[in-house]
Order: sequence, then C-alpha cells, then structure tokens
Amino acid sequence: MDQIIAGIGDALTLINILYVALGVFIGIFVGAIPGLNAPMAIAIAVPITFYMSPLAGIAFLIGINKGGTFGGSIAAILLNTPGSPEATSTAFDGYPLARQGKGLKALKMALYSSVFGDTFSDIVLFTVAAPLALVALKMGPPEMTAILIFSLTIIAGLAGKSMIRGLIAAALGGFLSTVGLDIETAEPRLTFGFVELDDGIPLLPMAIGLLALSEIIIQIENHVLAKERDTGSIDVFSRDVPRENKAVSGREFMGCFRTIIRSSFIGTGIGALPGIGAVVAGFLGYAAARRASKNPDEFGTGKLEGIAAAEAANSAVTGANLIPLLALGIPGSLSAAILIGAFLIHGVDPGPLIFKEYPRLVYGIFGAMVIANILNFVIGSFGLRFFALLVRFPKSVIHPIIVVLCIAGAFAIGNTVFSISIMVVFAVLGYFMRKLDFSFATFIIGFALGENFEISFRQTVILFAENPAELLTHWIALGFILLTLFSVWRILRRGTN
Amino acid sequence: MRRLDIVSGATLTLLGLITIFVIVPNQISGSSEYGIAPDVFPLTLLWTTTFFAALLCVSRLLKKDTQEERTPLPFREIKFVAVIAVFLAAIVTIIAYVGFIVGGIIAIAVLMFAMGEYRHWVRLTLVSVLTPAILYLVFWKLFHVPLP
Repeated sequence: MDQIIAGIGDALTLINILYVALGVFIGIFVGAIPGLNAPMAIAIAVPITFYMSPLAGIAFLIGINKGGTFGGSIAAILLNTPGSPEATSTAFDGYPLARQGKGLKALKMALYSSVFGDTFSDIVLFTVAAPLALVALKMGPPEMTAILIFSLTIIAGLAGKSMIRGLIAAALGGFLSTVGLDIETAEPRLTFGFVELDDGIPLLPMAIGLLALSEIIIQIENHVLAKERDTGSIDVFSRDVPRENKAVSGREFMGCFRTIIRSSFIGTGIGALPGIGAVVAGFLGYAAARRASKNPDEFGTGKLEGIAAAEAANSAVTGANLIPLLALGIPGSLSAAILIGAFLIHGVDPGPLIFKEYPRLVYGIFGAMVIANILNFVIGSFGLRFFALLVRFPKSVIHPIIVVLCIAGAFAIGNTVFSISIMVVFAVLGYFMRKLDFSFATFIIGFALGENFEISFRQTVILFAENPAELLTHWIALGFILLTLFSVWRILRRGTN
Repeated sequence: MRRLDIVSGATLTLLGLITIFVIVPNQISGSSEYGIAPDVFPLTLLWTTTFFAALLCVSRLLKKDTQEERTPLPFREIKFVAVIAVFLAAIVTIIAYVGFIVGGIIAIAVLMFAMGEYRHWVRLTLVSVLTPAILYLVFWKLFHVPLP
C-alpha cells in the first residue's frame, strides 16, 4: 500500500505532470497531422527520455500514445483522411458530420468517447495486471517459451493481412535480435567485425527507421510522384455555424453512453490480446454499434453514435495493451514494443518481476496514466482550434523537418553516427515491408521478444536435454504448444493467406 | 499481390538459404562446451523464415488467379527509393564528416525543393537553416546530447 501511495505521489509532482502534459500535447499534435502517428512520435521521442527520471520518461511517452489516439480523429473528421490508422472508422461518420457543419460537435464527441474508453481500459489494467503477473511468476522457462511462441504466432497471424507474411516478419525480427555477442559464450554472432554490433542491433534506431522514416519516405514519394490528391479541410469554427452544432449536449452524450460502454469493453478485450490492435478495435466497435442500433442505415451518414463507437473502442486499446507488457513482458502492440526500449534504457526490465522489483514505478505509471487522461481531456478541449489548424500545415515543410528530427533522435540514442546508419538501413527495409505488406509491427515485436525468447529456449533445452519426456508434465506449456500448432495448422489450411 | 508474393517469397528463400549455408557458418561458431551452440537459435529462426518464405512462394504459384492486381511496386518507385537511400547515405556521410547543422540544412533544403517548395524560397531558406540550428541547440542545451 505504501508503494502505491508513494508511486501516485511521484506521479503528482509538478515536473511529472508537466512531462505528461507535454507528451499529450505532442501526441495530439502528431496524431492530427495525416500520415504521422503516435508510435512514430514515441520512437522519435524515446531518446529524449534518457535525461528524465524513469517515471517521467515513461509517463511522457504514455502521454504521447494517449494524445495520439485522439489526435488521429481530428484529420479523420475534418479531412476524411485518418491522422492515424485507428481513426479510419471515425471518418465514416465524422466527415459527413463535418460536411453538415457539425465538425466541432463531432470532434468533441470523439474527444469525450476517446477519454472515456481510455480511462475504462486503464482501470482494467490497474486491476488485472498485478494478479496476472503473480501467475506469470509461477511459470518456468518451458511455459515462457511456449507462451512466447504462441504470442508470436498470434501476433503474426493477426497483425497484418497475411498470416504467412506475418510469420516471416516475426521470425526475421527474432533472427535479427540474435546479432551481437552470444548470451552464453560471448562469441560474436553476425557482427561482421563491427564492434558497434556487439551489443546487438539497437532497437530504437531500428524502430525510428522502420516506423517513422520509412513512412515519411512514402509520404514524400506520394508528394513527389504526385500520387496524392488534396482533400479540402472544413472550417468548423466559422461564426456562421450555430451554437448547437458546436457542442455535445448532455442528452446527446447519454444517448451514446451504451455504445461507448460497449465499445470500451470491445477495445479493452482486443487490447489485452497481443497483436490485434486499435484499428481492428475501431472497426469492431463501429460494427457492434451498427448491429445494435435500431437505425443501422443512419450509420455512415453522420451519426454521432458512430464516432463514439469507433473512438471509445480504439482508445480503449491503449491501456489494455500494457496488460501483456507489464504482466508477461510481451508487447501487445507497436507502441508497447517501443516502450520496452524505453523501459530498458532506464534499467527496468518489463515483465512479471516489475511489480516485485519496481512497484513504486509501476504505480507511478498508473497514476500518470490517470493524469494523462485528464490532461488529454483538458488539452483536447482547449486546444481544438489549434489542432484543427494543424491539418492544413503543408507536408512539404513538415516531412523534411521530421527526417532531420529522426536523424537527431537516432544519433542521440548511442551518440554515434552508426545509429543513424542503422536507422537508414531499416528505413529502406521498412519501405519495402510496407509496399510488400509485410507487417513491420510483427517484425519489431519479434525483434523485441527475441532475446527473452532465446533465454527461455536455451534454459528449456538445458533443463530438459537429459529427459525430454519430462516436458510432457508441464501442462501449461503443452497447452500453449498445442494452441500454436492449431494456429499454424489453420494457417496452412488457409494456404493462400 | 500474387506476383510480388512469388518474387518476394523466392527472394527471401534464396537469401535465407545463402545465410544458412554461407553466412552463418562463417559468422557464428557452431560449437559450445556447455549448453547449446551459439548458432542453434539463429538457425532455428532462419529455417522458420526460409520455410514460410518458400511456402509463400509455392502457395501463390499454386493459386489460380486470373485477375492480376496492379503491382504496388512499379519501377519508378523502386528508382525513387534507390535515390532516397543514396541521398540519405550522403547526408549521413556529411553529418559524420562536416556536422549535423550542414547535413541538416542540405537534407531539409533538398527535400523541400523536391516537394515543390521552390515556389516559396523564403520559407525554404528559413526552415532549412533554422530547423537544424534550433535542433542542435535543443539537443545540446536541453538534452545534453552534442550532435556532431
């Protein structure tokens, strides 16, 4: 109890609140610009957290994640171009509402339902993560190996459009995590004589390259090769817009309340499972609201309930995504995979032991998450006019700036130009992965899990080399292996996917 | 995606086999006095990658697809990414030997110019000069990271 109070007390210090506020602001800012999203901003921002305390750093990044989830809806509503992928389903009703002159009402409903869904999933995280970690602590190497194999299979199967391509990406990510000194013999593996690779390929320059720079290359390509068409933005703050079209009344909010609750459940459930993500949650929340509605035909024509359904569901993924990360050490999403890097640079190993070794930090993070939700609401409400202007910012200015920001961020991670080279190599790889539809999220998660996977794998081999039949007595491990085989069988059966 | 899947599957299979039979034996020791050899885990993952890459290629070859989709990777895009890769490599070299500010100015100016900002040359000049300078100062003074 003392640790909980101390942790919450840490979160409530002025400096930490300011960092969270800055994170939320950056998140909404980045999310509002089409083509940029929260994981990208987190990857670039991680090096900045070097010089913060672990709590301030993680809270700052979580703030970006939460702000970015709402920020994506701004461009979706005003431009019909989702600022981030998870806001795609928000555009279905958001843009028609904006065209009807109710853009501000739509933005406010997106904000309210986003904050509600996010808070709901945070509460589930606070109550579920610690008991789940206690269960995880009772598991040995074979169980962890089996769970990691199962998680990677599920992530590979669900994160992209093709299961086979997902499995290739996961295995390739895992393979690249073996670069560096061998964990037992300290012999170099695939370093090609580069001493910089003795510690392995650094996660963060790789993530910046794969996530941010490769996306910017594609955006620049769209611009230079003139593939992009300009969709006009709508001025929602015009004085001609009647007052009732600028606000969400209590009655309107309560009319959507059941939908918001339903979507929050859907988003939280999906967020707790590794690999599915906010995009699917948004679509499922939207589809469920449509099915439950008495007037399903009104969806897609500018229905407030449609925005509430999509935003509550995709935002509810944010908190729940941390359940597998904190309880099992398994990142459930791209943002969570990058957060692993942030935890590691502060000397904290995310996983079940975190509750035992760093309880004050964990409860501080929980406290910061609540603060982030409140600030998301406050900054989102007061900054709507500013953020709505951002969607008009010229890409020809913002994208070159981000390229240089990526370079600075990559350098800051290791204070070496080698990190920038790593980032460039992975940016080109990420470009091809995006074009060929190989899930880079699965690749990064495979990479992030690689080291723990190898440790568990090796421990299992050493423990059971003499008597492999003993493995059959480990029911949990056996169950997960059978589940994995079932998943692979489904993949092979579907063949073409 | 069918044709691209076949090409990417075949390429990855080939690269996987080259890595397994040529690169790994030269780069990773295959023996250990205790536990398992350093190459066991990487090889396990490589074989997995190669198996699924081959499966991707074969499954697409066996798939009867009468409608060929538009290729998502036309030659001009490959040419574009090659140019960008060379450009970024040049920027990294400039940053390494001359410094971040000069490299940053060149990077922003060239990219803004390519994206049509030559019509607003004042904005182009201001953004390309000020951004690297401000970033340099922020990283140096605020984050204590002296950029090169």
